[in-house]
Amino acid sequence: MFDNLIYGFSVAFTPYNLGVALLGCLVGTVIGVLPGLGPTGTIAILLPVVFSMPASSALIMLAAVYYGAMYGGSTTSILVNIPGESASVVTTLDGHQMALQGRAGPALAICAIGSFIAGTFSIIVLTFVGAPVARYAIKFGPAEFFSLMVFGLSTVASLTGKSIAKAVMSTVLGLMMATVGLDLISAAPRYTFGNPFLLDGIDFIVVAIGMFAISEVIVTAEELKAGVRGQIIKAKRIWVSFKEFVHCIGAIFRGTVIGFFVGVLPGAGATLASFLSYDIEKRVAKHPERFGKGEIRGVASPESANNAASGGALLPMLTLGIPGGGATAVMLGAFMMLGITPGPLLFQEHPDLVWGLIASMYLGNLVLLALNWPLVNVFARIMYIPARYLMPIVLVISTLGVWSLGYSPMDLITMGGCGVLGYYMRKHNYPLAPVLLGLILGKRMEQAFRRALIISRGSPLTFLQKPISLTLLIGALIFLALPFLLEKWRQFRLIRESALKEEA
Amino acid sequence: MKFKKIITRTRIEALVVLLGVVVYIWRGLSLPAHYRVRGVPGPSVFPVILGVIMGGAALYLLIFSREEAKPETSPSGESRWRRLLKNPRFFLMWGLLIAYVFLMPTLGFIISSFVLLTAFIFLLGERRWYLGILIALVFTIAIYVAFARGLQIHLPLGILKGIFGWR
Repeated sequence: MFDNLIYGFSVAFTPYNLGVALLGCLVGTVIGVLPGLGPTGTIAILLPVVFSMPASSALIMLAAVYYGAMYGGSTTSILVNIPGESASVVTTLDGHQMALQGRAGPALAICAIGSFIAGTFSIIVLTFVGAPVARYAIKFGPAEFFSLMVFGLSTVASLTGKSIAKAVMSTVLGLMMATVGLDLISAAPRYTFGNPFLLDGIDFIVVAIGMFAISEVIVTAEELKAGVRGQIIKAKRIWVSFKEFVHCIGAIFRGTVIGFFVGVLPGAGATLASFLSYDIEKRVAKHPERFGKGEIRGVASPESANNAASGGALLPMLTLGIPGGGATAVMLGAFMMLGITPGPLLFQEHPDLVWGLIASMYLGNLVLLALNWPLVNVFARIMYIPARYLMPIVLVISTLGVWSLGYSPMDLITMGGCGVLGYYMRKHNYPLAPVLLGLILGKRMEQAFRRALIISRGSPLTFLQKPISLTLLIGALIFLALPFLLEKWRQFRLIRESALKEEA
Repeated sequence: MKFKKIITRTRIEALVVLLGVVVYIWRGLSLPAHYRVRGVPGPSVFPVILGVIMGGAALYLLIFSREEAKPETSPSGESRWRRLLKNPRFFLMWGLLIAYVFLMPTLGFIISSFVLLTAFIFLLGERRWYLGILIALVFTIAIYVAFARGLQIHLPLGILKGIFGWR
C-alpha cells in the first residue's frame, strides 16, 4: 500500500508532472470561474492537446482540471452570485449573502478549507479502497461485468434529468452510437451504410466535443446579453475565526461523507452531492431559518460535498472502468485514446498511471489552496473577460481539436451534427452525460453480454444465476423504479396533508 | 381535449425516435447471414435489444407525457419558435458554424477562422469595428502558431497555399 503510494509520489514529483498538475489546476480554476464552459467540455477539448504527453502526465493534467473546476466554481458563486459550475449553484444561497454582509473573506476561507479537507479525505479513501476493490473486481466474469454496466447506466438514467424516459433514451442513444462500425466479435460492419469512414465507429471525442463544447458555446452565446455585468464584491482578508471553523467542522464532515458516497454512485456526481448535503445540513441544523441568509455552514457543507464527490467519482472509474458522469467519461476516453484498457486490471498493469494520479491529487489539493488563497480576487476578475470574444475562440479551438485527431473532414461534420443534436437535447431536457456514458461503455458492454451468453451456451438465465450479477440487476431495477416511487409517495403525502387540513 | 394538446413537441420527438428505432432494428436484422454462428449470439442481438428499450421509452413518452403544465409561450404570447424567427442571430450562428465545419478544410484554417471569429464577435454584440477585427486577427494567428508550430498539428492552408510561399 504505502510503497505503492511512495512509488506514485515518485511519478508525480518529476518537474514535468509537477508543472502539468499546476497547469491543470490553473486551467480548472479558470474554467470553474467562467460561466458557460464546464469541466466536461474543457477536458474534451484538451484531449487532443494532451495526446502528445506521456499517459501519466496526461491523466494528471485532466484530473487536475476536473477538481480544479470544482474549486473555482465557488469563487464567483460567493463574490458575484453567478455560479461558475452547476455544482456550486447552492453555494450562492448563503455564500453571496455572506459576501453582501461583508463576510466574503470567511466564506471563501471556509470554502477553501472545506474543499481541501474533503478533497484530501476522498483521495485517502481512494488510496486505501481502490486496490482492494480492483482486486475484488478482477474475479468478475463477463456476466457480472455486464450487470455492473447495466447498474451503472441505470443509476445514471435515474439520477440525471427530469424525466426518466428521456434519460433512458439518452443512454440508449449513446449505446446505439457505440454499435456503429465493425462488430468486434463477428467482424460484421454494422450501420456503416457503405461508408468506410464509419467502419471505425463514431469517435467518442468528436461526440464529446460536439455535444459538450459546441452546444454549450451556442447556448451561452444565445443567452448573452450585452452590458450585463455582475457586481464583484471584493474580499478583503480571507480568514475565518477559530470559533467559526469549529462551528463548521460538523458541516464539513457531513458534506465530505455525503459527497464521497454520492460521487461514487454513477450518475449522481458533484451537483447532486452539493444539493443533497445542503438539504441535509439544513435539516440537522438547530436554526434552519438561518440558511439562505448567510449561514456559514450553508457554504461549508456543499463546497465540501462537491469536492469529495469529484474524488469519489474517480473510484469506480479507476477500479472498475465505469465512469460516473460526463467528466469522468471523457477521462476514460483519454485512457482508451492512449491505448490503455480501463478496468480492474489497471492497478496491476499500469501502477504508474493509477498511483501517479492518486499521488498527484494530494499535491493538487495543496496547489489549489496555495493558488486560490492569495489570488482569489484576481480569479474573480476573469469573469470580466467578455464572452463575445471567449466563446468564438472556444469554437475555433474545439474544431481544431477534432481536426487534429485524424485530419478528417467527416469528423468535423460529425462534430457539427453532434453540436446541433446536443443543443436540441439540452433545450428539451434530454440529459447529455448519459449519451457519453453509453457511447464509452457500449462496446465493452456488448462484448461482455455476448461472452456471457457464449459461456452459458445461449442461456440468458446466466445473468440471474450468478449472485453478484443478480444483485446488481435488482439494484438497477430499484434505481429505475425510484423516481416513480418517490413521485407516488410525494403525491400520497400531499393528498394526506390536504385531507388532514380539511378535517381540521 | 383540444387538438393542439394531443400533438405536443414531446410526442413528435417520440414519433421521430420510433421511426429511427424501426430503421435501426431493420438495418440490424438485415446483416448478411454468414456473420451468424449457430447457438452463439450474433451481431444483431444487442442492437435489437437496444432498439426495443429505446422504442419502449419513446412509446412511454408518446402515451404518458403530460408536459403541458407550462405553456409553450412567453409572457408576450409568442411561441418560442416565432421568437427565434424574429431573432436571426440564432440561425446565423448555427449557419456560420456549419459552414465553418464544411469549408475549413478547403478554404484553409486562417481565412475561415478569421471570418468565423469576426462574424461571431460582431453577432455577440461588439460595436467597435476595429477592435472586433483586431481581436479576430490576433487570435487567428495566435491559435495558428500555437497549434501548427507549437503542437505540430497540420492545419490546412487552403487557398492561401503558395501565396506566401508557405508549406
